[in-house]
Amino acid sequence: MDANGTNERIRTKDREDGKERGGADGATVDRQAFSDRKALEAACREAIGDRPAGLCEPDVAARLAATAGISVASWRFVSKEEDLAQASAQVGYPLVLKVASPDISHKSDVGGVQVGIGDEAQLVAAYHTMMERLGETVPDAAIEGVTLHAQHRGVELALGANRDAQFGPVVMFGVGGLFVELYQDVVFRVAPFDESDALDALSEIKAQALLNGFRGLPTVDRKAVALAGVGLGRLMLSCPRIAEVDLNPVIVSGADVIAVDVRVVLSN
Amino acid sequence: MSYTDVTQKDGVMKIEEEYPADPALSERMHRMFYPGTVALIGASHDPRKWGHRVLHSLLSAGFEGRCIPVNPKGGTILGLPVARSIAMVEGSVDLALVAVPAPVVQAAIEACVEAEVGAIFVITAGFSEGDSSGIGRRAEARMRQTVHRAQIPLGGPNGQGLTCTQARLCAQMYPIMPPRGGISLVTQSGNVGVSMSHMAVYYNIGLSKTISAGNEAALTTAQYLDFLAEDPDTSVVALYLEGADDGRHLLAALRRTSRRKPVVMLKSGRSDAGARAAVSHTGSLAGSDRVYDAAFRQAGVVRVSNLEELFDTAAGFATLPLPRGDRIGIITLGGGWGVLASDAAAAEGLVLPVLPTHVRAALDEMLPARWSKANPIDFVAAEESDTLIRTLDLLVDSGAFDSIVLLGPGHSSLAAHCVADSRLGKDPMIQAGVALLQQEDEEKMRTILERCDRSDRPIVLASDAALSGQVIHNPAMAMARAAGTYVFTSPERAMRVIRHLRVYAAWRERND
Repeated sequence: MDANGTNERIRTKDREDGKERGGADGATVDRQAFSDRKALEAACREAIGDRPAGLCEPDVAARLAATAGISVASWRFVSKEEDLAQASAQVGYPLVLKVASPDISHKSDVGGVQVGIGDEAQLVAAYHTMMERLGETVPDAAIEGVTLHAQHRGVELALGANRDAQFGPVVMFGVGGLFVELYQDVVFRVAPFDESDALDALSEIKAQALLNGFRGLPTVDRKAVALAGVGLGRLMLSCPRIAEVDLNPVIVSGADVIAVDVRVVLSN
Repeated sequence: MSYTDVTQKDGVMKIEEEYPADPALSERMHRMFYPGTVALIGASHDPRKWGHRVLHSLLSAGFEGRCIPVNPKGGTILGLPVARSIAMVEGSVDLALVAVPAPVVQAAIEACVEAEVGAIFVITAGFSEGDSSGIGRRAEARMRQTVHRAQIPLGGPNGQGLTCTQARLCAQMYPIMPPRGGISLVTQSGNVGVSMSHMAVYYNIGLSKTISAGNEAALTTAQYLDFLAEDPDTSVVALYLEGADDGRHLLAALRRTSRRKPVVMLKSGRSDAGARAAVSHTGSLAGSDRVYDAAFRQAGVVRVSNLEELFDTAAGFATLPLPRGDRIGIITLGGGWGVLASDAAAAEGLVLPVLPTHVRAALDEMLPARWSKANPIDFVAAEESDTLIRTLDLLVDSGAFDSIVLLGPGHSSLAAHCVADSRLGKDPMIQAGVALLQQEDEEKMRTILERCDRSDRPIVLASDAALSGQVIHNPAMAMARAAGTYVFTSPERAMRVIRHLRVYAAWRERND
C-alpha cells in the first residue's frame, strides 16, 4: 500500500503509441495480491506479451520488478532535448540521467550515466556532455533517447536472479553499485526460499557494516530487502521466460527498497 | 513435477514439496544394507579380479548372512559353492552385487529382476564415466528403466560398493571394516570412502555405512540421503560430492536430512567459481560453486574443504554435544598452544570471554602465581595432578563457556616415553619414574574422559600426541582412543570443528 492507502500495483503514465514511457512513481506494490501465484503468472504474461528473447525494454522490466513486489524509482523516457524540462518536473530533482539504447548493455562503462543532477541547467549540460561522449565511445550505437530517474539516497545494494543449470532459479543478494563485479560481495539462494533464508543470505554479505548504518548512511531494514529477494524468487518461479534479472543499484533507506536500474533478460 | 507446478500456500513454497521423500523406496533400500543373503554375480577364482576380491571382503569382514558366489562355471570359490545363475540360488536374495564385464551387465540386471532380488549394486565400470559417445549413458538409462518397472533399488554402476558395520557387510573390493558407529558416508568416489574408513579405523571412530554412489544410473545421492535421514543407525551424514544432475532434488533431500541429523559436505570443484557467459551481472557472478554453496547454506549443510576436515567434522558431530553459543574457554599445558588456539578461535568467529571473577579467584588460590590469569588458562607447565580436573570443573560449572578446549592431553605420557626411550631408559630408577608418570597421566585421562562423557557442553581435546598415539606407546592416548573419544591433532582443527558444530546448531535452532 502506498502513502495514500491505495492498492495500486504499478502506475504507468505517458502512454504513447502503445508503448509506456515511464512510471513507477512511488512504485507502490501490493505484495498480498502477488502471493497468489496465478495472479503473478497472469501479470507476468501480460507484461511480457509476445516480446522476443533478449534484453527487455526498461518499462517492461520495471513492470516485472513491480510484480515481484519490488519498488522502482520513478522515471521518464525522453527522445528529444526539448522534452527534458517537462520530464524532469515529473521525476523531480535530484535525478539521474541515463542513455536509452538497445545496443548498450552496461551504460556506465561508456559514459551513459550521470548522477546528482540538481537543476534544469545541469540537466541540459549533462545531456550534451553525454551525447558527445557516446559519440566517441559507441559511435555505432542507436541512441533512442535518455531516461530520467529519481535519485534516492541510501545504501546501494544489488539484487538479481538467474537460472542455474542444476539448481534452477537462484536469487542474488549483495553490495551494489558500479563495483559489484569487482568486490563480488554477493550471496545466492535457490528459489523458492522464505524470509528467514533471505535473512541468512544477508548475514553472509561480507560488508555487514554497510548494512548496519555505515558512516551516516541510512540503516538497512533487512526484512524489507529479504522480502524483495523472496519476491524475486517467486517471480522467477512463476515466469519461466525470465532468464536473468539485474536490479543494480537497489537503494535502501530503512524499509524503503527502491530499484533504480532494472534489467530483465527474456529467453524464448 | 516441475517447480512451476508447485502450489503456493501463504505465498511461500517449499522445495521439499517439489521433491518429496519416497518412504517406500527407503523401505526397499533397507535390504540393500541389512541383507540376509548376498549374491555376487561374476564371482571369480582369479585373486586379481574384483569378482574375487569383493567375495574376499564379504567373508573377511565376518558377514553373518548367506554369501553366494554366482558364475556359470560353478565349482567353489574361497570354499563357497558357486551357483551357476542367480535363478538357481535357493531362497530369496536381498542384495545382488554385479561384477560381470560391462557388455553383460544389462543381462545380469535382467536376471536379477527375474529372480526378484531385493536390491542390486553394479560395481562394474565402463559406462557414462569418461564416455562422450553417449553409449554409456544410454546403457545406464536402460538399467534405470529395467529396475524402475520392477521397483528394485539399484546402486552404481562404477561404484566401489557398500559397507554397513551394523550388518557386518563389506560389499566392496577394499577389505576394510571400520568400527561400528553412527557416521554414514555417501561418496561419488570410492576412494574417499576407503580414506574415511581408514581414518575411522586409525582413530577408532565408528562408522555406520559407506556408499559409493558411482554413476547414479538409478539411485542418486539425494535418494541415499533420504534413506540415511530415516536410518536409526546413522547419526551423522558425510558426503563427498562432485556434482548433481538434479540440484533441486539434492537440495530438497539435504534440507530434510539436516532437520534430522547433521550433514557434512565435501564438494570438489571450488575452483569452478569462474563466470560463464551471461548478459547480466548476476549471471556472470553466479558461478557453479557459488550456487552449490548457497544451496548448502540453505539446507543447513556444513561445508568442508578437504578430507581431514570432513573426518574431523563428522567425528566432532558424532562424539560431541552441540554447543549452545560461541564462547570458548581454553585450558592449555603450554603457552604456544594457547596462543595458536586463541588465533584459531578468532579466525573461526568464536569468542574467548574473560574469566568470571569467582573462577579467577579460585584459580589464584589453586595455581602457582605465574599462571596466565586470563583465558586461555595457561598452567605454565606447573600442573599438579588434580588441578587440571579442578580447573576443568570450574570452567564447566561457571556456565560462562559454551565449549571448553583442553590442549595437550597425553603429553605427559609422551614425555615419559621419551625418557624411557633415552640412553638412561634402562636405569631401574628411571623406569620406575616413567611408569609412575604414565600411570598418573592415565588416571588424569580417565577423569577427563569421564568429564567429557558427563558434560552437556563440548569438552574438546586437542593434542599433537594424537598424531603419534598409535605409533608410540602412550597409555593415555590409547585410553582416549579405546573410549571412542576423538582427540583433534591441532587447536586449529578443533576450533574449525567447534565453529561447524555451532553453525549447525544455530541453523537447527532457527529451523526447528
